[in-house]
Order: sequence, then structure tokens, then C-alpha cells
Amino acid sequence: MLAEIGLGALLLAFGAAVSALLAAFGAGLRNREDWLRSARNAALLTFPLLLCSVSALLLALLNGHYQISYVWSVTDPATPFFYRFTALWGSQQGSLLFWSLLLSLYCFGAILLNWREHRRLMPGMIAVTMATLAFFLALSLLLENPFERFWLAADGAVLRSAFIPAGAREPDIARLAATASGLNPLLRHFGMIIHPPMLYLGFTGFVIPFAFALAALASGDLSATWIRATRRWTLLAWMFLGLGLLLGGRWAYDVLGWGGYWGWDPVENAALLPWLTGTAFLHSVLIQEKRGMLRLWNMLLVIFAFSAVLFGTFATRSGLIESVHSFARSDIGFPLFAFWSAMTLIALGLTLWRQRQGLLRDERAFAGLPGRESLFVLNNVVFAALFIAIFWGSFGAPLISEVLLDAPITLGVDYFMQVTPPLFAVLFLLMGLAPLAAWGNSSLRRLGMGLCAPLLLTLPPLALLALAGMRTAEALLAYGLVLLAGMVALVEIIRGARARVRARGEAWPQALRALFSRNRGRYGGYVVHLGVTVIGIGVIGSTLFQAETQRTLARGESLRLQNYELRFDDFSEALANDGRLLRVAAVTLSRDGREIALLRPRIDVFPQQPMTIAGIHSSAENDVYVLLTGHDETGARATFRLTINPLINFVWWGGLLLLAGTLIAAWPQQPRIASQRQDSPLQEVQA
Amino acid sequence: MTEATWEKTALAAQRFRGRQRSARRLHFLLAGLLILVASAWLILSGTASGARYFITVDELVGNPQWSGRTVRVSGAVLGPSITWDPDTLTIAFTMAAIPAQFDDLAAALHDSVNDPSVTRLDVVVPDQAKPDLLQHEAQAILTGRLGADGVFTASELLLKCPSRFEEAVPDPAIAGHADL
Repeated sequence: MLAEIGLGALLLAFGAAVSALLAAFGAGLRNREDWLRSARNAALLTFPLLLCSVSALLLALLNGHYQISYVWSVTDPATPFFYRFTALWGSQQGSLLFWSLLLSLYCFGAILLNWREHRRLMPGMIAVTMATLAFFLALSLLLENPFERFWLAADGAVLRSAFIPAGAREPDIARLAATASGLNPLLRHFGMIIHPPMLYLGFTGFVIPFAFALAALASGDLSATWIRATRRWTLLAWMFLGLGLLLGGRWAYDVLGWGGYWGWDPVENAALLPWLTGTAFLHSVLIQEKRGMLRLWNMLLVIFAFSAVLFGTFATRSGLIESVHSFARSDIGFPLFAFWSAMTLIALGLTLWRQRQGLLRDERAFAGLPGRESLFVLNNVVFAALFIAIFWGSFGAPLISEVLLDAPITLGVDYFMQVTPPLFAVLFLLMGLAPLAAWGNSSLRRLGMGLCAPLLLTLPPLALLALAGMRTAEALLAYGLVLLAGMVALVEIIRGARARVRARGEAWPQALRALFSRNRGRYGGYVVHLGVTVIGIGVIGSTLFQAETQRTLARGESLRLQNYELRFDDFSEALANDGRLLRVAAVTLSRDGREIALLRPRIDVFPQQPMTIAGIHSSAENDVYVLLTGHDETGARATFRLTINPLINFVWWGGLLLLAGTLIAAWPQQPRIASQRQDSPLQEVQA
Repeated sequence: MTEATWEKTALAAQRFRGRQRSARRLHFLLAGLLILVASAWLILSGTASGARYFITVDELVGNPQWSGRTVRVSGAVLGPSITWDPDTLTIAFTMAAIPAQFDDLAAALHDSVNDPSVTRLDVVVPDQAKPDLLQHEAQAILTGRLGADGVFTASELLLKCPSRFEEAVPDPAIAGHADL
């Protein structure tokens, strides 16, 4: 019954999406208000219908309806409740349906929140979002149906079909349960309940800015309207995508057992590309808002952000790219490629058309360096260079060489570690300089004066890092740039609050609260900069100063790395409730001769494959990451890999700051009272 | 006269501001150009030094031009051949060639390990803990060099994650219970 309900709701959602698309298209062409309302209602209906469909699948997963082939393939009777829930996105069909649900949720929210204010853009917006939704629902219905069931034909053959084939009957559920596959062990991690939804919320969220951009191009209303409608949605999508990337890194760190969190894997990179484009847009859109410039560039960034999402989806879900994160080779590759190409070409064609009409012309020319808008543009150039470098390394070189050369080439970690650090260094430099420059004509003197306090504040933590042993030239340079960018943000926040304290006599907490509530975008942005700085500190430490050793030890023997010593104490085996065999080593970790932790690195042996789970001793200074990588039959000897990851926890803490800053920036601004002054506190004092 | 002097001064100041603006724009363009040129150089040099040719076992063994060069090669792991020395932390196994193009990876791996006529390659991976995924019929993707002794020494070992195992065998598993 659940399969019928889920499939029925899915079919109805597809119908609603198509009718909304047609009605919105017609409303745009004929300027018919009644058609537009009809399109709105149909588009709004897709969300509850898909919620119903996903709920049906979720209930089937939770209750073990193994006749549904998706349930059979991602769960078994031993799968715990928690992982039955995460199994919803554990494989292609379920995750594609979940993806469509999130897409419809964004459409639902965007229509309700923007209906009155941006009515003129609504036909185009609804048409684009519904075209995208209809496409993904068609994939679910025709190629990756999560509600297909197993049937037994009269001749004993097993059939898989959404509807009962003629002459077939239901298989025995108990037998199906006994043969069910169970969830991929790699997906059995608490992070999997939050990482994929965050990533998908990030990916699907970019459809709204894209839809508004296309609506603006189609309607010819290329004033600041579409930018106003777009910015907060971009911020939301950008935040979720950033969180998804960080959580994915944490999952890899905990589950994949290699001691790292970012492997420059093509699928990781595919998710990074729209995030980079979104970051560039969030900066350059400020120039359009404040100065009426970069109108064409902003349009292109929004288009490329969603285009990168579609390409990443194609690369991940088609089987084109071999990766630990990718789905199985699938028939949806070609349709996804065609859809990506079509959407990108249509968007670029519309942009070119409007550009030729002069509708995307800037209102004023650049004042040149070191004006803030020029620094922002340079920051965008670096983002674009990063985009090209990462795209080339992940997809461009392998795909082009496959066509042009006898032997295709691949570019691995070496390439990315050579190309990206200098670009990130320039990015941090610009991140430090831009907030200090004025809009329009600025001066080097102003920049120099502004840099004094941040530079002074940079020195103590830099000295601290140098004293901690991080003294190589490249580390000091990298840390200097990263810290400077963070200190500029910190000083700007302090400067703003101090201005209020002096001008209005407010207490510091009150001044800070008022500062953030009066200009959420700006000061939320500074908190984001602080978050990125903290992440940068973690990335540099754990990349440049990671230390590693491995050895086979007998019980009682030790291995040393830097001032840490690892002693192998014991080995045991146990059976977990879900059927896993746990092979656990007990080890003692000492530092400078003093015992600091007892760790239990282990190997979880699932019927399908073993999984290495690290024992981690975490502190602000570092993670000591211990892997049990092998053992003999009796457990008398075992092999351990000991890795020290300096400052790695800064990566996760920076992620929290990034989240906080984005929430501040995205939070709706309180309407100002007419009598309140409009200028910033700093300007108030300067005035 | 005074008016003419004033006009001249104003014109000069305007010209100066114009020159200053032009210089600032030029600096901006040069900075942008510098970033673009440096990025292009980084990408090209990174590609030149980081490129690894991805070839098949047959191409590696059959063509002497690849001998001694760092390449990437992919094949199917023969489970019984896997050995791992815990003292030297050295993995050794034999890998069977798989076709460059295939529709079903699982089937290609299965066919390769069960066909004694396909080319086989002995592989050594030094200083490497035994990975979880190093199993019979796993796809190994190795980066390394073929030595004169015909043994491929890998500096990097990637194993195709069988994460999609759930999709590989649903029907046969039930078909095995055809008496239902």
C-alpha cells in the first residue's frame, strides 16, 4: 500500500509541476493573472505531494517493506532505526526523490515569500523551478523509480516493476527480508543523517537565484529587483552547501580511515565549485547593489552556480566519475547531461540577448585600484581562476584527454596542492584588504592606515604558532595572510562597536548587539570572514604539519611519533547487535612519558566489507588519530597507523562560526523607524 | 585674465584627475591580468607535472614505452594472491586486466579474475597498511611504475568502493529462492 501511495503522489506531483510550468509560461507570454495564480497553486501543491511520497518511502524503510526493491537494497532486518532513516538517501532512487522534495520545498518557500513583492518575476521563476522539478521527477518515474517492487513471474523469474506484471505474484516477505542487502557500511555514521540533507539543501537552493535571474532576463526587468529577490536565497543555499562540505569532510575523517578530510576527489570538487561561484556572487552582488556595476558578471555567476550544481549532479549520479562518494553507473547520465547543457545554453543565450539590448550595462565605470569594488572584482577573478583550476583538474583534463589522447590523463592531489594554495593565498590577502578600502576612489594611504591595527594584532598569534614549531617560510606566510584577514574583520567589528560606545554612550554588549542588528549583512559577513580564518588556521596546520608513522606491534610494545608514544595493550573481539563483528585494540597514548588517553581503534567487520574506525584523542592543539590497520589471527600482533593532525579541530570550529555569520547575514533586517539615522555608526561618529 | 587663469588651472586639475583615474584603472587591469596569467601558468605547470596517464594492464605490459614511467593502471584484484607482510608493511597481489570500456563493473571484474587468458600483473605496494577494500574482485587503481623485473611498484593504491553492492545483485538473490 505504501508503494501505491508513494507512487501515486509522485505521479501527481509530476503532473502538478508540468501544469505549473505550462501555466506560468502562458501567463508570462499572455500576461494572464488567472493563469499565473493557477501556476502558483499547482507549484505550491508539488511540495505536499512530494512530502507524502517521501513519507511513504520513509515508512516503508522504517517498517521493512522489503518487497519495495529500494527498501530491500538499502536495509535489512538488522539495520538499526537510525540508519533506516538515513537509508532514505542511501542510494540513487531514494536520494533523487529526496532531492526533488527539497527542490519543491525551496519553490514553495520562494513563491510564498516573494509572491507580492516580485510578482513580475513570478511567471519566469515558477516556469524555471517547475521545469527543473518536472525533469527530476521524470527521472524518478522513468529511470530510477524508488517504488518499484519485486514480483515472481509464473516461471519463477524475479521481476522488478512499479506495477504488478500479468500473471505475477508477490514474493514471500520473510525470504525477501532474509536476502536483503543492508545499508552500505560506509553510510553508517551519525554524520550521514545531516551531511547529505545539508549538501542537497545547498545544491537545490541555487535553483531559486537561477530562476529569478532567468525570470529577470525573460521579462526584461533587469533592475535591482532580481538581485534583491536573489541574495538571501543564495546566502541560504551557500550556507547549506558549506555546511554539507564541512560535514562531508568530517564523515570522511571519521569513516574512511585515511586521517584526512579533503582528498580533492572529483565529487568533493563538484560540490565545491558551486560554493566557490556562490561566494564570488555574494561579494560581487554588493557592487551591483551599491554602485550599479557588474550586472553582466553577476548574471553569469548565478547562471554558472546552478550550472555547476547540475554538472556536479550529472558527474556524481551518472557513474562518469569513480569516487567513494558517487552513485552507481546509471541510465540518468545522458538525460542529466542534456538537461545541464540545455539550461546553461538557454541561460547564456538570454544573457547575450539582453546584453546586446544594453540592459546589462553598468551604471558607472570603475574608479580603479585600490577602490573597494576593484578589490572585490580581483577577488572574483581569483574565484574564477580557482573554479577553472579545480574544474580542469577534476573533469576538464580527464575528459578532454580521453577524447584527444590515446591514454587519458588524470590529475591527482599533487596537481591541486600545487595550483590552489597560491590562489587561496591571494584570496585571503584580498579578503584582508577589501573591507578597509572605500567605495569608489580610495587611497593606498587609507589602506595602509587601516592595516596598522590588524597587522599588530596578527603578530602575537603568529609568534605563538611559530613558537609551537610551525616555523617554515610557507607556513608563516600562509598563517600571516589568513590571520591578517581575520584580524581585519575583528578590528572592523570592534571599530564599529567602539563608535557606538563613544557616540551614544552604549555599553559594549549593547553596542555590539545594535551594530549587528542594524547592519546584519556587513557584520554577519565579518563573522563569516572570521570563520573562514579559523578554518584556514586548521587547514594549514593539518596539511603542512601532519605527521604519520605506522608499525606492527606485539602486545606491550610501543611506537613513537614526536613526543607521543602509543602502547599496544590488548585485543578483543565482540559481536554487535546489528551483526557486525568488532575487532578492538586497546592502546595507551602517552605524551612526554605521561599517559593521557586510553583509545580503542577498531575494525568493524560487516558481512559485505570491513571498516576501520579510528581512535582519536582530540584537543585544541591537535588530534592524535590511531588506526588499527591489521592484526594476526590471535590478536597478539597488530599494525597501527599513528597520525598527528595539528590544529585540525579549528576546521570544525570555523565551520560553526561560518554558520553563525551566515545566519546573522541572512536574518531579515528589522524595519527601521523613520526617525532613525540611516548611516553606519562609524559614519555617525566621523560625521 | 583672471578668468582665463582660473579656467586653465581647472582644466589642468581635471586633466590631472583624469590621468590619475586612468593610472588607477591601468593598475587595476594589470593586477587582474597578473592574476589571470599567474593562474594560467599554475594550471599549465600543475598539469604538466601532475598528469598521470591512465592506461590498461594490457597497454602497460605490451608497450615498452610505459616501462619506468609513472602511470595509473586499473585492474581486478585476485583475492588468493593477496599477501601482506606486517613487519615491512608491504602488500603484494596479482591484478588481472579489465577492458578499458565496460557496462557493468562487477561483471567485468568477475570475468577478468576467472579468465586465465587475460594479462596479469604482479603488484607491490610498499609502506602500506592493508586497506579494508582490498578483496577478491575489487577494482584496484594504482599509481606507480613498472620495473624491469615486470613487477609494478605502486606509490598509491585506490580501491573501487563496492558501495553500490546493493544494486549489483538484487534479482539473483531472490531468484535463489525460486521455490517461494
